[in-house]
Amino acid sequence: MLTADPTYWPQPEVSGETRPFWEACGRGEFLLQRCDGCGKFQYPYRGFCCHCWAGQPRDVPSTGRGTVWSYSVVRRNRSRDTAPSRTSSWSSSWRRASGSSPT
Amino acid sequence: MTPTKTRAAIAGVYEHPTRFAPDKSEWLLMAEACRGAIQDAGLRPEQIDAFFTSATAPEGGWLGACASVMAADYLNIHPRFIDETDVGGASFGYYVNRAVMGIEAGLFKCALIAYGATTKSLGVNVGTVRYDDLTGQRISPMPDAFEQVYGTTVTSFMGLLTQRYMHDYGLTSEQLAHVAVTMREHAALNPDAAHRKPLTVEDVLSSPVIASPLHKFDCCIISDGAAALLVVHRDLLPECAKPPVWLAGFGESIMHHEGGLGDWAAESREMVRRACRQAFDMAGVGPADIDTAMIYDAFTVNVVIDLEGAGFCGVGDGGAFVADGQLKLDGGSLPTNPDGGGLSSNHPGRRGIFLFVEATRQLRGEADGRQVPGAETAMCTATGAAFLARRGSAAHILTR
Ligand SMILES: [Zn+2]
Repeated sequence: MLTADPTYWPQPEVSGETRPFWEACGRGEFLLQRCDGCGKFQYPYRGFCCHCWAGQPRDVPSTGRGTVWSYSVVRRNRSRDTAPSRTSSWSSSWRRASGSSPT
Repeated sequence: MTPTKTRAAIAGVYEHPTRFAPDKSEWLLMAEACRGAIQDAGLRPEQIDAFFTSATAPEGGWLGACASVMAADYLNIHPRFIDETDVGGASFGYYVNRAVMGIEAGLFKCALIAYGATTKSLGVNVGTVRYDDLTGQRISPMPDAFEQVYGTTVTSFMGLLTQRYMHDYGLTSEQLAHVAVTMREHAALNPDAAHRKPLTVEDVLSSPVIASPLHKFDCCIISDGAAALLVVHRDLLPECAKPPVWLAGFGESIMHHEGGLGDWAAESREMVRRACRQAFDMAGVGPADIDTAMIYDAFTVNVVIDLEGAGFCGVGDGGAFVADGQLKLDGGSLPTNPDGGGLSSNHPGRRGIFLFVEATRQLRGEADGRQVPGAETAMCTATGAAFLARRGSAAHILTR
């Protein structure tokens, strides 16, 4: 069994398409997108409007306010490198909280 | 009403009795299941002209890319048509659909659908690890980067869905527990089932939480296993050893995130409804005509959502339906998963194929000790997942 690295957190791969989102995260911003053609929001971040395939999605920093749509407290996570959660109060290495929808 | 039939029928089935086979490979388990199905049908391997199987990697074995060609090589068969459409555990329902379509189109006459996995032997924690940990891959830019970084597991995705379904429709953990208890009662009647020790609602509710609000016994078990089906054109039936189980209707439907705007909870049910409506319309029957149901119970909540989606009860009534004992072989209005399902009999990663084996046994009257008396028409529903809300459902009406 591998020893959990307490500093580890799974890191996303970044593509050219999604780099603006992650760069915004680095500035403390959570980006949504809104289409300049159809006006609809989309998430996750992508390089075209998935609603109309015509307009251009524009970056819209979220206000930081939202409504939790659902949640699950993950009490069993056997990923070999799972580290203590940064987003919950659980302290044991196999406990962490996950998942509110960013609406 | 009597269902109308397609030109395709299930002529042979086999469920491997093993639940733990560390000394065999998934390939060999699959081959043994294929041999069992061809013997059950009374046909010969060289008659197989279409082949369908699912990749098992990474959640239950080593069979990965190009799964159907790889497996055809191992089995040494020469199908002229292959397919390995991937909708997780629902894939096998999609293969049945494609087999019926190919038979109806005159492309082939004898389709083998097969599966084997050694999930338990390999020690794969299918539902309780991050996807990148399961696959050994990095977290892809789209869409995993936006999800897996939070430490999500399959069970956590279903936990999110269950929590929201409870919020919107009043479903309770106690109601869900009745699904697990009923499946265990049925498993006690199945000598091959992995878990046969009686379970109570209290046992379920006091079992460890895996990802809230799902307890351990809300989650399917992990086993090894294999199965095979032969779906044939009616022209071959005179050669077959057993009476046919006809495909009367089938449907399929997918759902996803709708660009982030969708209602994942309601859509989970509406996806099932679309698949079931197609199947019912094709067969010309409705929920009241179904004598027994096989519902893919990856988690207890799947059963409730499928019951509501199929129309066996109203929206929001699924919890009361299961708590009232309607799924029970003993006195229920819709005896469901008489073999004990994925919650108690077997679950080697992708369980969809086993629904058809049990439905066939029931409609042939071969389900010793757990036979639904006089069963003439059965329904199978399955939902399988890519991750989070990207999922697909399949629905089938079978009749003897
Ligand atoms: Zn647009």
